[in-house]
Amino acid sequence: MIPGYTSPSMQAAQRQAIPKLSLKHISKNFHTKTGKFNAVEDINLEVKAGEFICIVGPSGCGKTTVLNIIAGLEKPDGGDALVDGTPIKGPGTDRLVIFQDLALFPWLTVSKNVEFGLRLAGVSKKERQERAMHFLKMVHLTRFSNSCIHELSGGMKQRVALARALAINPDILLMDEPFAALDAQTRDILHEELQEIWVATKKTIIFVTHNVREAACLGDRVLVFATHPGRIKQQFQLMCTRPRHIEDPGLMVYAKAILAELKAEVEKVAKEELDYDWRTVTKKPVLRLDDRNLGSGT
Amino acid sequence: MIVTWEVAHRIGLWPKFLFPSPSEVLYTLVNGFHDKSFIIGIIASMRRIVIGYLISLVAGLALGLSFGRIKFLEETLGSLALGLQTLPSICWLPLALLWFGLNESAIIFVVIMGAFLSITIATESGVKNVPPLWLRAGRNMGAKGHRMLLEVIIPAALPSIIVGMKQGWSFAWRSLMAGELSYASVGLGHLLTLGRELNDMSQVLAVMIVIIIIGLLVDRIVFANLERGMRERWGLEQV
Ligand SMILES: Nc1ncnc2c1ncn2[C@@H]1O[C@H](COP(=O)(O)OP(=O)(O)O)[C@@H](O)[C@H]1O
Ligand SMILES: [Mg+2]
Repeated sequence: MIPGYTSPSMQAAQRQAIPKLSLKHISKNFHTKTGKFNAVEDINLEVKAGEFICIVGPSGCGKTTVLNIIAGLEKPDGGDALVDGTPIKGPGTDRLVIFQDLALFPWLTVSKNVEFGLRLAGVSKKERQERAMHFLKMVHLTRFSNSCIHELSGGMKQRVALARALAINPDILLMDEPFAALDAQTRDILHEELQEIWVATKKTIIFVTHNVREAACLGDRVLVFATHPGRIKQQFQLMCTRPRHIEDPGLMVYAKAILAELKAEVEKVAKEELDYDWRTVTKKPVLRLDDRNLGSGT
Repeated sequence: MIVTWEVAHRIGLWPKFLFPSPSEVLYTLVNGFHDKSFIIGIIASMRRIVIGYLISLVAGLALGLSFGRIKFLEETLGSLALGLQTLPSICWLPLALLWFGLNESAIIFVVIMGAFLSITIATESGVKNVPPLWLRAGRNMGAKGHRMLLEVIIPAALPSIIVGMKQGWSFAWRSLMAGELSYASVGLGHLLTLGRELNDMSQVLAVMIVIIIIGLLVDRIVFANLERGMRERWGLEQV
């Protein structure tokens, strides 16, 4: 625990017992040409305010679907999704998604992108600019405030997306494999900064990744999803101190356990999808230093 | 090239009245501006095209946006628009003459029919091709209704809309000239007809040059800048 810092989750627990977010028996079907497809089934989850949740799972197991349901962009077919005890009725700026492909607007400059949600909320121009500047400073991008989006590197775009979401001051940040396309060094830096920002802003974060070590590095809790249908297979509570670094030896034992769980799942998917002569012997899971990419994610 | 033309003319490669020398054309050009006949013609033509084009722009954007957003309209009227677009807009002239009589409205109507369908179709396809991800992001950040339209859909469709505006302009300009050649008492097209009737080839050429220059100016200055600004911002390939 960082000295002098009481986690928002502790404060919330003192205030009330209602979880920030709670999913009860959530299920979601998609109707495709080949019929009904059960994307997620019976998802149960309670998230405390200020908690940092990581979700790992094979691609296609419904991680994005769950984020979309929380964001109110997708309606569940069954179950209840509650924020602060009230049912989610639709999209709301208290829950912001950082999309896998970022969805920055190329017709706006960096600072105008960050101001976007504020403009919709009717915030005055002066305050908009101040707040955009504040959050651009937080992600160390003030020098590029007037740049066009296409002029930025991948890591810088991530920072803009983060600033754009933070500027709207959501309670919950939903991040969908945000760092998947970045190089390891840039990702390291962003891991560090994301933890700092999380501590400073006390957001509740739900972070989807297919990188087990990233999940172990960032999460208070890591959920491993199973597929067909998507559901929560296993949860890991991580007690490591923060700030954490992805190479911390203390994280390895968690990462290994998560990986073992995930690997069984990935191989199950492969067996279902690939020909029967695909190697059936499950080797002992090994953590390589390069990042394991378990599935492309969609 | 111009020198060759002048020399060929002087040594009499062709009968002088069929094809004038550059100096004669230049003289007519200067004279045309001096006695204001060209200026009056340009103003008359520009007035028609500006009115016609603005109406086309508003109607095309409105219709394109509704086609793009309302499936029912697209299914019923969308293919009609595509079909009508294949019709050269000057073919509307007889109809326009019957409806409006031989006056400004008839010619402006032809200009509108030239531009507005291109703008409609380009706007519709731009709106339909807005990546769903941007719509989701917009919704996520609190955009809906007309805010979504103004802040996300239209800007996202702008590249396609600009292409349609450019194409619409060139169709409008062509339609205007065709209309003026046949039925107008003033305007650049009329000056061409006049030149022909007076057998004044240098007037015909001088007016043609004016028409080319106006077309180029609008295309290279107005639309090229619009397109370049958009492409630079979006980081698209420059064409
Ligand atoms: N709009 C949709 N229509 C049909 N199928 C969908 C749709 N969205 C997602 N799916 C399917 O639902 C499953 C879960 O998708 P998703 O949540 O994107 O998985 P993940 O993010 O874990 O990779 C996938 O098999 C995907 O093909
Ligand atoms: Mg996904």
